[in-house]
Amino acid sequence: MSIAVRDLVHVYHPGTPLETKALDGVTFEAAKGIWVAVVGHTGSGKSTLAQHLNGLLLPSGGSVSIDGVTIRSGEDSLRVVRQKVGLVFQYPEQQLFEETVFQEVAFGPKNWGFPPDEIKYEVEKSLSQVGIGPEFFGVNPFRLSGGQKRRVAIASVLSSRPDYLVLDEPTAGLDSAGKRQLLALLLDLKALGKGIVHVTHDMDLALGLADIVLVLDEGKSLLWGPPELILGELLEHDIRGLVIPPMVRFAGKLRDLGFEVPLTWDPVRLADAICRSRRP
Amino acid sequence: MTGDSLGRFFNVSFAYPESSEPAIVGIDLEIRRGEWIAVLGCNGSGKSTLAKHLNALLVPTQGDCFVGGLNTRSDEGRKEARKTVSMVFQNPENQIIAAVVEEDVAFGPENLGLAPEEIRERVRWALEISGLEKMSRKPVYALSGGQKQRLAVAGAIAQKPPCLVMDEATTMLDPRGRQDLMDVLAALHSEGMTLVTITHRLEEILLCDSCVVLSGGKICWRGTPVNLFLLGPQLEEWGLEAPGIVREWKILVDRGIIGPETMPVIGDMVEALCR
Repeated sequence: MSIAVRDLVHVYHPGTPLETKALDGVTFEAAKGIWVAVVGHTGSGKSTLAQHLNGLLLPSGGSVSIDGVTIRSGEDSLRVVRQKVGLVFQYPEQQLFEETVFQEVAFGPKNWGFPPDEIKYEVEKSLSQVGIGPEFFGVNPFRLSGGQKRRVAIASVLSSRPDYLVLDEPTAGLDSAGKRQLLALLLDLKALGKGIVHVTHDMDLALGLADIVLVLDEGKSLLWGPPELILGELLEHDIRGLVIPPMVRFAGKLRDLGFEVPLTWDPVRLADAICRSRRP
Repeated sequence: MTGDSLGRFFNVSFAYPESSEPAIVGIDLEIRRGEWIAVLGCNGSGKSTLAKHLNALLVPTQGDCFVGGLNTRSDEGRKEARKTVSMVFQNPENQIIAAVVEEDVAFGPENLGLAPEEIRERVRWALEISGLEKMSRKPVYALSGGQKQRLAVAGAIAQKPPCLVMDEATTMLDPRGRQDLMDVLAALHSEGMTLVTITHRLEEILLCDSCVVLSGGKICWRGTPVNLFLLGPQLEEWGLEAPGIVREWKILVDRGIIGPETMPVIGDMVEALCR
Protein backbone atom coordinates (compact mmCIF):
# COMPACT_ATOMS: atom_id res chain seq x y z
CA MET A 1 0.00 0.00 0.00
CA SER A 2 1.72 3.15 -1.17
CA ILE A 3 1.85 6.12 -3.48
CA ALA A 4 3.70 4.80 -6.53
CA VAL A 5 5.02 7.22 -9.13
CA ARG A 6 6.45 5.69 -12.32
CA ASP A 7 8.32 7.64 -15.04
CA LEU A 8 6.09 10.65 -14.42
CA VAL A 9 6.25 13.38 -17.05
CA HIS A 10 4.40 16.69 -16.86
CA VAL A 11 4.35 19.24 -19.65
CA TYR A 12 2.72 22.64 -19.09
CA HIS A 13 1.04 24.33 -22.10
CA PRO A 14 1.84 21.51 -24.57
CA GLY A 15 1.97 22.50 -28.21
CA THR A 16 2.25 26.23 -27.45
CA PRO A 17 5.28 28.55 -27.42
CA LEU A 18 5.08 28.39 -23.59
CA GLU A 19 5.52 24.59 -23.53
CA THR A 20 7.63 23.61 -20.49
CA LYS A 21 8.56 20.16 -19.27
CA ALA A 22 8.29 20.45 -15.47
CA LEU A 23 8.71 16.73 -14.68
CA ASP A 24 10.79 14.42 -16.78
CA GLY A 25 10.60 10.74 -15.83
CA VAL A 26 10.25 10.91 -12.02
CA THR A 27 9.96 7.57 -10.21
CA PHE A 28 9.54 7.05 -6.47
CA GLU A 29 7.39 5.39 -3.86
CA ALA A 30 5.95 6.68 -0.57
CA ALA A 31 4.54 4.08 1.83
CA LYS A 32 2.26 4.49 4.85
CA GLY A 33 4.11 5.22 8.07
CA ILE A 34 7.11 6.60 6.14
CA TRP A 35 8.30 10.19 5.81
CA VAL A 36 9.53 11.06 2.32
CA ALA A 37 11.14 14.47 1.79
CA VAL A 38 11.10 15.87 -1.74
CA VAL A 39 13.85 18.48 -2.09
CA GLY A 40 15.11 20.60 -4.95
CA HIS A 41 15.71 24.17 -6.01
CA THR A 42 12.93 26.61 -6.92
CA GLY A 43 11.59 25.44 -10.28
CA SER A 44 12.86 21.87 -9.90
CA GLY A 45 9.32 20.48 -10.18
CA LYS A 46 8.54 19.85 -6.47
CA SER A 47 5.18 21.59 -6.38
CA THR A 48 4.14 20.10 -9.73
CA LEU A 49 4.93 16.66 -8.36
CA ALA A 50 2.90 17.36 -5.19
CA GLN A 51 -0.14 18.26 -7.27
CA HIS A 52 0.08 14.95 -9.14
CA LEU A 53 -0.14 12.96 -5.92
CA ASN A 54 -3.83 13.67 -5.43
CA GLY A 55 -4.82 14.10 -9.05
CA LEU A 56 -4.93 17.90 -9.21
CA LEU A 57 -2.67 17.49 -12.24
CA LEU A 58 -2.78 14.50 -14.57
CA PRO A 59 0.34 12.92 -16.09
CA SER A 60 1.49 13.87 -19.58
CA GLY A 61 3.37 10.56 -19.42
CA GLY A 62 4.01 7.77 -16.90
CA SER A 63 1.65 7.04 -14.02
CA VAL A 64 0.72 7.78 -10.42
CA SER A 65 -1.18 5.21 -8.40
CA ILE A 66 -2.45 5.30 -4.84
CA ASP A 67 -2.80 1.93 -3.08
CA GLY A 68 -2.99 0.29 -6.50
CA VAL A 69 -5.56 2.73 -7.97
CA THR A 70 -4.10 4.51 -10.99
CA ILE A 71 -5.07 8.18 -11.32
CA ARG A 72 -6.92 8.80 -14.57
CA SER A 73 -8.93 11.69 -15.92
CA GLY A 74 -12.70 11.73 -15.49
CA GLU A 75 -12.92 8.47 -13.56
CA ASP A 76 -14.11 7.55 -10.09
CA SER A 77 -10.44 6.95 -9.28
CA LEU A 78 -10.01 10.70 -8.76
CA ARG A 79 -12.60 10.72 -5.99
CA VAL A 80 -11.00 7.76 -4.22
CA VAL A 81 -7.52 9.22 -4.57
CA ARG A 82 -8.47 12.69 -3.33
CA GLN A 83 -9.86 11.26 -0.14
CA LYS A 84 -6.82 9.04 0.41
CA VAL A 85 -4.28 11.80 -0.23
CA GLY A 86 -4.64 15.11 1.62
CA LEU A 87 -2.77 17.96 -0.04
CA VAL A 88 -1.62 20.89 2.08
CA PHE A 89 -0.54 23.77 -0.13
CA GLN A 90 2.14 26.32 0.65
CA TYR A 91 0.66 28.99 2.94
CA PRO A 92 -2.57 26.95 3.32
CA GLU A 93 -4.01 29.60 5.61
CA GLN A 94 -4.51 31.78 2.52
CA GLN A 95 -7.24 29.35 1.48
CA LEU A 96 -9.32 29.52 4.64
CA PHE A 97 -12.79 30.80 3.80
CA GLU A 98 -15.44 29.64 6.30
CA GLU A 99 -16.86 31.78 9.09
CA THR A 100 -15.81 29.60 12.01
CA VAL A 101 -12.96 27.21 12.72
CA PHE A 102 -15.47 24.35 13.11
CA GLN A 103 -17.13 25.03 9.73
CA GLU A 104 -13.73 25.31 8.07
CA VAL A 105 -12.64 21.88 9.28
CA ALA A 106 -16.10 20.35 8.61
CA PHE A 107 -16.05 21.44 4.95
CA GLY A 108 -14.09 18.41 3.69
CA PRO A 109 -15.97 15.58 5.46
CA LYS A 110 -19.29 17.28 4.60
CA ASN A 111 -18.34 17.22 0.93
CA TRP A 112 -17.37 13.57 1.18
CA GLY A 113 -20.84 12.85 2.51
CA PHE A 114 -19.87 11.81 6.06
CA PRO A 115 -22.94 11.54 8.35
CA PRO A 116 -23.33 14.48 10.80
CA ASP A 117 -22.11 12.61 13.91
CA GLU A 118 -19.01 11.45 12.05
CA ILE A 119 -18.35 14.98 10.81
CA LYS A 120 -18.49 16.26 14.39
CA TYR A 121 -16.21 13.44 15.56
CA GLU A 122 -13.63 14.03 12.78
CA VAL A 123 -13.64 17.82 13.25
CA GLU A 124 -13.09 17.54 17.00
CA LYS A 125 -10.45 14.85 16.60
CA SER A 126 -8.52 16.75 13.87
CA LEU A 127 -8.57 20.03 15.78
CA SER A 128 -7.42 18.29 18.94
CA GLN A 129 -4.60 16.60 16.98
CA VAL A 130 -3.28 19.98 15.84
CA GLY A 131 -3.64 21.43 19.35
CA ILE A 132 -6.62 23.73 18.71
CA GLY A 133 -9.00 23.56 21.70
CA PRO A 134 -12.83 23.79 21.73
CA GLU A 135 -12.61 27.45 22.79
CA PHE A 136 -11.59 28.21 19.19
CA PHE A 137 -14.37 26.24 17.44
CA GLY A 138 -16.66 29.27 17.09
CA VAL A 139 -13.86 31.75 16.32
CA ASN A 140 -13.48 33.28 12.85
CA PRO A 141 -10.32 31.68 11.38
CA PHE A 142 -9.15 35.06 10.12
CA ARG A 143 -8.74 36.25 13.71
CA LEU A 144 -6.20 33.54 14.55
CA SER A 145 -2.41 33.97 14.61
CA GLY A 146 -0.33 32.75 11.65
CA GLY A 147 0.67 29.50 13.39
CA GLN A 148 -2.91 28.79 14.50
CA LYS A 149 -4.26 29.39 10.98
CA ARG A 150 -1.69 26.94 9.60
CA ARG A 151 -2.80 24.30 12.13
CA VAL A 152 -6.49 24.83 11.31
CA ALA A 153 -5.67 24.48 7.61
CA ILE A 154 -3.95 21.16 8.32
CA ALA A 155 -6.85 20.01 10.51
CA SER A 156 -9.20 20.75 7.61
CA VAL A 157 -7.24 18.23 5.53
CA LEU A 158 -6.96 15.66 8.35
CA SER A 159 -10.72 15.69 8.95
CA SER A 160 -11.30 13.85 5.65
CA ARG A 161 -9.27 10.91 7.09
CA PRO A 162 -6.54 10.77 4.44
CA ASP A 163 -4.00 7.93 4.55
CA TYR A 164 -1.30 10.13 3.08
CA LEU A 165 -0.46 13.78 3.67
CA VAL A 166 1.39 15.74 1.00
CA LEU A 167 2.65 19.04 2.40
CA ASP A 168 4.25 21.77 0.28
CA GLU A 169 6.67 23.78 2.47
CA PRO A 170 4.49 23.39 5.57
CA THR A 171 6.88 25.29 7.86
CA ALA A 172 7.40 28.35 5.62
CA GLY A 173 6.92 31.56 7.54
CA LEU A 174 6.54 29.90 10.97
CA ASP A 175 8.85 30.85 13.82
CA SER A 176 10.87 28.15 15.53
CA ALA A 177 8.19 27.38 18.16
CA GLY A 178 5.51 27.10 15.46
CA LYS A 179 7.84 24.97 13.35
CA ARG A 180 8.65 22.61 16.22
CA GLN A 181 4.94 22.12 17.05
CA LEU A 182 4.05 21.40 13.44
CA LEU A 183 6.88 18.94 12.91
CA ALA A 184 6.02 17.14 16.16
CA LEU A 185 2.44 16.83 14.88
CA LEU A 186 3.64 15.35 11.58
CA LEU A 187 5.85 12.87 13.44
CA ASP A 188 2.81 11.84 15.53
CA LEU A 189 0.74 11.36 12.35
CA LYS A 190 3.52 9.27 10.86
CA ALA A 191 3.57 7.13 14.03
CA LEU A 192 -0.19 6.65 13.57
CA GLY A 193 0.58 5.15 10.16
CA LYS A 194 -0.01 8.09 7.83
CA GLY A 195 2.37 8.42 4.90
CA ILE A 196 4.06 11.84 4.87
CA VAL A 197 5.36 13.46 1.69
CA HIS A 198 7.13 16.65 2.71
CA VAL A 199 8.06 19.01 -0.11
CA THR A 200 10.77 21.41 1.05
CA HIS A 201 13.90 23.28 0.07
CA ASP A 202 15.17 23.09 3.66
CA MET A 203 17.83 20.41 3.57
CA ASP A 204 18.33 20.58 7.36
CA LEU A 205 14.71 19.51 7.86
CA ALA A 206 14.81 16.88 5.13
CA LEU A 207 17.95 15.24 6.46
CA GLY A 208 16.86 15.36 10.08
CA LEU A 209 13.31 14.07 9.68
CA ALA A 210 12.86 12.03 6.52
CA ASP A 211 13.22 8.28 6.21
CA ILE A 212 13.81 8.72 2.50
CA VAL A 213 14.86 11.76 0.49
CA LEU A 214 14.04 12.37 -3.18
CA VAL A 215 16.22 15.05 -4.79
CA LEU A 216 14.74 16.66 -7.89
CA ASP A 217 16.78 18.66 -10.35
CA GLU A 218 15.36 20.15 -13.53
CA GLY A 219 12.29 17.89 -13.21
CA LYS A 220 14.32 14.67 -12.96
CA SER A 221 14.85 12.43 -9.93
CA LEU A 222 18.53 12.88 -9.24
CA LEU A 223 18.94 11.03 -5.95
CA TRP A 224 16.67 8.75 -3.95
CA GLY A 225 17.45 7.04 -0.64
CA PRO A 226 17.88 7.33 3.13
CA PRO A 227 19.55 10.62 4.13
CA GLU A 228 22.79 9.02 5.33
CA LEU A 229 23.22 7.21 2.01
CA ILE A 230 22.68 10.22 -0.26
CA LEU A 231 24.76 12.75 1.70
CA GLY A 232 28.06 11.88 0.03
CA GLU A 233 26.56 12.17 -3.44
CA LEU A 234 24.85 15.43 -2.46
CA LEU A 235 28.21 16.92 -1.56
CA GLU A 236 29.78 15.72 -4.81
CA HIS A 237 27.03 17.07 -7.04
CA ASP A 238 26.82 20.81 -7.20
CA ILE A 239 23.06 20.80 -7.48
CA ARG A 240 21.83 24.14 -8.73
CA GLY A 241 20.06 26.14 -6.06
CA LEU A 242 20.23 23.40 -3.45
CA VAL A 243 22.03 24.60 -0.34
CA ILE A 244 23.79 21.81 1.52
CA PRO A 245 23.54 22.45 5.29
CA PRO A 246 26.74 24.18 6.48
CA MET A 247 27.27 21.45 9.09
CA VAL A 248 27.42 18.78 6.41
CA ARG A 249 29.81 20.91 4.35
CA PHE A 250 31.89 21.39 7.53
CA ALA A 251 32.06 17.61 8.03
CA GLY A 252 32.97 17.16 4.34
CA LYS A 253 35.76 19.73 4.61
CA LEU A 254 37.19 17.98 7.70
CA ARG A 255 37.12 14.63 5.85
CA ASP A 256 39.04 16.21 2.98
CA LEU A 257 41.67 17.26 5.53
CA GLY A 258 42.03 13.72 6.89
CA PHE A 259 39.73 13.87 9.94
CA GLU A 260 37.86 10.60 10.44
CA VAL A 261 34.39 12.00 10.85
CA PRO A 262 31.04 10.90 9.42
CA LEU A 263 29.00 13.03 7.05
CA THR A 264 26.23 13.86 9.47
CA TRP A 265 23.70 16.51 10.42
CA ASP A 266 23.84 15.46 14.10
CA PRO A 267 26.03 18.01 15.96
CA VAL A 268 26.80 15.74 18.95
CA ARG A 269 27.79 12.80 16.73
CA LEU A 270 30.07 15.04 14.67
CA ALA A 271 31.63 16.64 17.79
CA ASP A 272 32.29 13.17 19.29
CA ALA A 273 34.00 12.09 16.06
CA ILE A 274 36.08 15.29 15.97
CA CYS A 275 37.25 14.63 19.56
CA ARG A 276 38.22 11.03 18.68
CA SER A 277 39.89 12.08 15.46
CA ARG A 278 42.06 14.67 17.25
CA ARG A 279 43.40 12.23 19.84
CA PRO A 280 47.00 11.10 19.20
CA MET B 1 32.69 51.36 11.79
CA THR B 2 29.74 52.83 13.64
CA GLY B 3 29.28 56.51 14.32
CA ASP B 4 26.81 58.91 15.92
CA SER B 5 23.22 58.09 16.73
CA LEU B 6 20.78 57.48 13.84
CA GLY B 7 17.80 56.42 15.91
CA ARG B 8 16.99 56.41 19.63
CA PHE B 9 14.13 54.91 21.57
CA PHE B 10 13.47 56.36 25.04
CA ASN B 11 11.16 54.17 27.11
CA VAL B 12 8.95 53.54 24.06
CA SER B 13 5.68 51.64 24.45
CA PHE B 14 3.08 51.10 21.77
CA ALA B 15 -0.40 49.58 21.90
CA TYR B 16 -2.53 49.01 18.78
CA PRO B 17 -5.94 50.69 19.07
CA GLU B 18 -7.87 47.39 19.02
CA SER B 19 -5.66 45.73 21.61
CA SER B 20 -5.65 46.07 25.38
CA GLU B 21 -2.08 44.74 25.65
CA PRO B 22 0.85 46.86 24.44
CA ALA B 23 2.88 45.32 21.58
CA ILE B 24 6.14 46.81 22.88
CA VAL B 25 6.92 48.03 26.38
CA GLY B 26 9.62 50.37 27.72
CA ILE B 27 12.04 50.03 24.82
CA ASP B 28 15.38 51.81 25.28
CA LEU B 29 17.57 51.38 22.25
CA GLU B 30 20.14 53.28 20.25
CA ILE B 31 20.98 52.56 16.61
CA ARG B 32 24.29 54.10 15.55
CA ARG B 33 25.13 55.17 12.00
CA GLY B 34 26.86 52.42 10.03
CA GLU B 35 25.79 49.75 12.51
CA TRP B 36 24.15 46.48 11.45
CA ILE B 37 21.76 45.49 14.21
CA ALA B 38 19.44 42.49 14.39
CA VAL B 39 16.12 42.56 16.21
CA LEU B 40 15.17 39.00 17.12
CA GLY B 41 12.19 37.27 18.65
CA CYS B 42 9.37 34.84 17.94
CA ASN B 43 6.10 35.76 16.16
CA GLY B 44 4.21 38.32 18.22
CA SER B 45 7.26 39.43 20.24
CA GLY B 46 6.93 43.01 18.97
CA LYS B 47 9.89 43.21 16.58
CA SER B 48 7.96 44.52 13.56
CA THR B 49 6.16 47.05 15.77
CA LEU B 50 9.54 48.28 16.99
CA ALA B 51 10.87 48.53 13.43
CA LYS B 52 7.88 50.53 12.22
CA HIS B 53 8.74 53.26 14.73
CA LEU B 54 12.01 53.85 12.91
CA ASN B 55 10.40 55.37 9.85
CA ALA B 56 7.43 56.71 11.80
CA LEU B 57 4.90 54.31 10.34
CA LEU B 58 4.03 54.09 14.04
CA VAL B 59 4.47 56.75 16.70
CA PRO B 60 4.90 55.74 20.38
CA THR B 61 1.84 55.74 22.63
CA GLN B 62 4.32 56.35 25.46
CA GLY B 63 7.94 57.48 25.43
CA ASP B 64 9.79 59.05 22.51
CA CYS B 65 11.50 57.92 19.36
CA PHE B 66 14.12 60.14 17.71
CA VAL B 67 15.41 59.66 14.17
CA GLY B 68 18.17 61.92 12.87
CA GLY B 69 17.89 63.86 16.14
CA LEU B 70 14.19 64.74 15.66
CA ASN B 71 11.22 63.42 17.65
CA THR B 72 8.87 61.42 15.42
CA ARG B 73 5.89 62.99 17.22
CA SER B 74 6.51 66.19 15.23
CA ASP B 75 5.71 66.64 11.51
CA GLU B 76 9.35 67.50 10.93
CA GLY B 77 10.47 64.40 12.82
CA ARG B 78 8.19 62.11 10.81
CA LYS B 79 9.45 63.66 7.57
CA GLU B 80 13.04 63.13 8.68
CA ALA B 81 12.31 59.51 9.70
CA ARG B 82 10.78 58.71 6.30
CA LYS B 83 13.74 60.27 4.51
CA THR B 84 16.24 58.46 6.71
CA VAL B 85 14.79 54.96 6.91
CA SER B 86 13.53 52.74 4.07
CA MET B 87 11.81 49.46 4.79
CA VAL B 88 11.65 46.16 2.92
CA PHE B 89 8.86 43.79 3.96
CA GLN B 90 8.17 40.06 3.76
CA ASN B 91 6.30 39.85 0.46
CA PRO B 92 8.10 41.44 -2.51
CA GLU B 93 4.89 41.37 -4.58
CA ASN B 94 3.46 44.12 -2.36
CA GLN B 95 6.43 46.42 -2.88
CA ILE B 96 6.90 46.45 -6.63
CA ILE B 97 5.11 49.17 -8.57
CA ALA B 98 6.36 49.27 -12.17
CA ALA B 99 6.24 46.62 -14.90
CA VAL B 100 9.93 46.76 -15.84
CA VAL B 101 12.84 46.27 -13.42
CA GLU B 102 14.70 49.57 -14.02
CA GLU B 103 11.48 51.59 -14.04
CA ASP B 104 10.59 50.18 -10.64
CA VAL B 105 13.99 51.14 -9.21
CA ALA B 106 13.70 54.63 -10.75
CA PHE B 107 10.31 55.28 -9.11
CA GLY B 108 11.76 56.46 -5.75
CA PRO B 109 14.49 58.77 -7.14
CA GLU B 110 11.98 60.25 -9.65
CA ASN B 111 9.67 61.10 -6.76
CA LEU B 112 12.54 62.83 -5.01
CA GLY B 113 12.70 65.17 -8.05
CA LEU B 114 16.31 64.31 -8.90
CA ALA B 115 17.98 65.22 -12.20
CA PRO B 116 17.76 62.53 -14.93
CA GLU B 117 21.53 61.80 -14.83
CA GLU B 118 21.39 61.35 -11.06
CA ILE B 119 18.37 59.02 -11.40
CA ARG B 120 20.22 56.94 -14.03
CA GLU B 121 23.30 56.74 -11.82
CA ARG B 122 21.30 55.68 -8.77
CA VAL B 123 19.38 53.04 -10.73
CA ARG B 124 22.66 51.67 -12.11
CA TRP B 125 24.22 51.58 -8.62
CA ALA B 126 21.17 49.99 -6.95
CA LEU B 127 20.84 47.32 -9.65
CA GLU B 128 24.54 46.54 -9.54
CA ILE B 129 24.73 46.16 -5.77
CA SER B 130 21.56 44.01 -5.83
CA GLY B 131 23.00 41.77 -8.56
CA LEU B 132 20.25 42.68 -11.04
CA GLU B 133 22.26 44.77 -13.51
CA LYS B 134 21.75 42.24 -16.32
CA MET B 135 17.99 42.23 -15.78
CA SER B 136 17.35 45.96 -15.97
CA ARG B 137 15.02 45.69 -19.02
CA LYS B 138 13.25 42.53 -17.87
CA PRO B 139 9.55 42.57 -17.09
CA VAL B 140 8.98 42.16 -13.36
CA TYR B 141 6.73 39.12 -13.86
CA ALA B 142 9.68 37.19 -15.31
CA LEU B 143 11.69 37.41 -12.05
CA SER B 144 11.92 34.63 -9.46
CA GLY B 145 10.83 35.28 -5.86
CA GLY B 146 14.44 35.89 -4.79
CA GLN B 147 15.05 38.31 -7.67
CA LYS B 148 11.82 40.18 -6.83
CA GLN B 149 12.97 40.62 -3.23
CA ARG B 150 16.34 41.92 -4.44
CA LEU B 151 14.37 44.31 -6.69
CA ALA B 152 12.46 45.51 -3.62
CA VAL B 153 15.82 46.19 -1.94
CA ALA B 154 17.11 47.97 -5.06
CA GLY B 155 14.00 50.16 -5.10
CA ALA B 156 14.49 51.02 -1.42
CA ILE B 157 18.20 51.83 -1.63
CA ALA B 158 17.93 53.86 -4.87
CA GLN B 159 16.62 56.65 -2.64
CA LYS B 160 20.00 56.40 -0.84
CA PRO B 161 18.44 56.22 2.62
CA PRO B 162 20.97 56.32 5.46
CA CYS B 163 19.21 53.28 6.97
CA LEU B 164 17.53 50.18 5.57
CA VAL B 165 15.19 48.04 7.68
CA MET B 166 14.59 44.46 6.49
CA ASP B 167 11.39 43.24 8.16
CA GLU B 168 11.38 39.42 7.82
CA ALA B 169 12.44 40.09 4.23
CA THR B 170 13.82 36.58 3.65
CA THR B 171 10.75 34.66 4.81
CA MET B 172 9.43 33.86 1.35
CA LEU B 173 12.81 33.10 -0.21
CA ASP B 174 14.47 29.73 -0.76
CA PRO B 175 17.94 29.12 0.74
CA ARG B 176 19.73 30.35 -2.38
CA GLY B 177 17.56 33.49 -2.50
CA ARG B 178 18.30 34.11 1.18
CA GLN B 179 22.02 33.73 0.64
CA ASP B 180 21.97 36.13 -2.33
CA LEU B 181 20.07 38.70 -0.29
CA MET B 182 22.56 38.38 2.60
CA ASP B 183 25.36 39.11 0.09
CA VAL B 184 23.52 42.28 -0.96
CA LEU B 185 23.20 43.38 2.68
CA ALA B 186 26.89 42.69 3.34
CA ALA B 187 27.77 44.91 0.35
CA LEU B 188 25.51 47.71 1.64
CA HIS B 189 27.01 47.41 5.13
CA SER B 190 30.52 47.74 3.71
CA GLU B 191 29.37 50.95 1.96
CA GLY B 192 28.43 52.33 5.39
CA MET B 193 24.64 51.95 5.28
CA THR B 194 22.95 51.41 8.65
CA LEU B 195 21.05 48.12 8.57
CA VAL B 196 18.34 46.75 10.82
CA THR B 197 17.45 43.08 10.27
CA ILE B 198 14.19 41.88 11.80
CA THR B 199 14.18 38.10 11.88
CA HIS B 200 13.80 34.90 13.84
CA ARG B 201 16.41 33.11 11.70
CA LEU B 202 19.70 33.15 13.57
CA GLU B 203 21.74 32.20 10.48
CA GLU B 204 21.00 35.70 9.19
CA ILE B 205 22.68 37.56 12.04
CA LEU B 206 26.25 36.26 11.78
CA LEU B 207 27.49 39.43 10.10
CA CYS B 208 25.61 41.82 12.42
CA ASP B 209 27.49 44.04 14.85
CA SER B 210 24.94 43.59 17.60
CA CYS B 211 21.53 42.16 18.33
CA VAL B 212 18.61 42.59 20.70
CA VAL B 213 16.09 39.90 21.60
CA LEU B 214 12.45 40.81 22.20
CA SER B 215 10.11 38.70 24.26
CA GLY B 216 6.59 39.78 25.18
CA GLY B 217 7.30 43.22 23.72
CA LYS B 218 10.32 43.88 25.98
CA ILE B 219 14.03 43.76 25.24
CA CYS B 220 15.20 40.74 27.21
CA TRP B 221 18.77 40.48 25.95
CA ARG B 222 21.32 42.54 24.03
CA GLY B 223 24.87 41.81 22.89
CA THR B 224 26.88 40.41 19.99
CA PRO B 225 25.73 37.46 17.84
CA VAL B 226 28.54 35.24 19.19
CA ASN B 227 27.56 35.96 22.81
CA LEU B 228 23.95 35.18 21.89
CA PHE B 229 24.94 31.83 20.40
CA LEU B 230 26.83 30.98 23.60
CA LEU B 231 23.53 31.10 25.52
CA GLY B 232 22.53 27.72 24.04
CA PRO B 233 19.20 26.34 25.36
CA GLN B 234 18.07 29.79 26.58
CA LEU B 235 17.47 30.64 22.91
CA GLU B 236 14.59 28.17 22.72
CA GLU B 237 12.75 29.94 25.52
CA TRP B 238 12.71 33.03 23.32
CA GLY B 239 11.43 31.03 20.36
CA LEU B 240 14.78 31.13 18.59
CA GLU B 241 16.60 28.19 17.08
CA ALA B 242 20.34 28.03 16.46
CA PRO B 243 21.29 26.62 13.04
CA GLY B 244 23.19 23.30 12.93
CA ILE B 245 26.62 24.85 12.40
CA VAL B 246 26.13 27.13 15.42
CA ARG B 247 25.04 24.17 17.59
CA GLU B 248 28.18 22.33 16.44
CA TRP B 249 30.33 25.39 17.23
CA LYS B 250 28.76 25.66 20.72
CA ILE B 251 29.50 21.99 21.52
CA LEU B 252 33.11 22.37 20.35
CA VAL B 253 33.50 25.58 22.41
CA ASP B 254 31.92 23.95 25.50
CA ARG B 255 34.29 21.00 25.17
CA GLY B 256 37.26 23.34 24.87
CA ILE B 257 38.15 22.05 21.38
CA ILE B 258 37.96 25.55 19.88
CA GLY B 259 37.96 28.92 21.60
CA PRO B 260 34.90 31.21 21.78
CA GLU B 261 36.82 33.77 19.71
CA THR B 262 36.43 31.44 16.71
CA MET B 263 33.50 32.56 14.56
CA PRO B 264 30.77 29.94 13.95
CA VAL B 265 31.55 29.74 10.23
CA ILE B 266 33.08 26.79 8.39
CA GLY B 267 36.39 28.45 7.42
CA ASP B 268 37.20 29.71 10.93
CA MET B 269 36.16 26.47 12.61
CA VAL B 270 38.26 24.33 10.25
CA GLU B 271 41.23 26.62 10.74
CA ALA B 272 40.86 26.44 14.54
CA LEU B 273 40.75 22.63 14.44
CA CYS B 274 43.83 22.41 12.23
CA ARG B 275 45.91 24.67 14.50
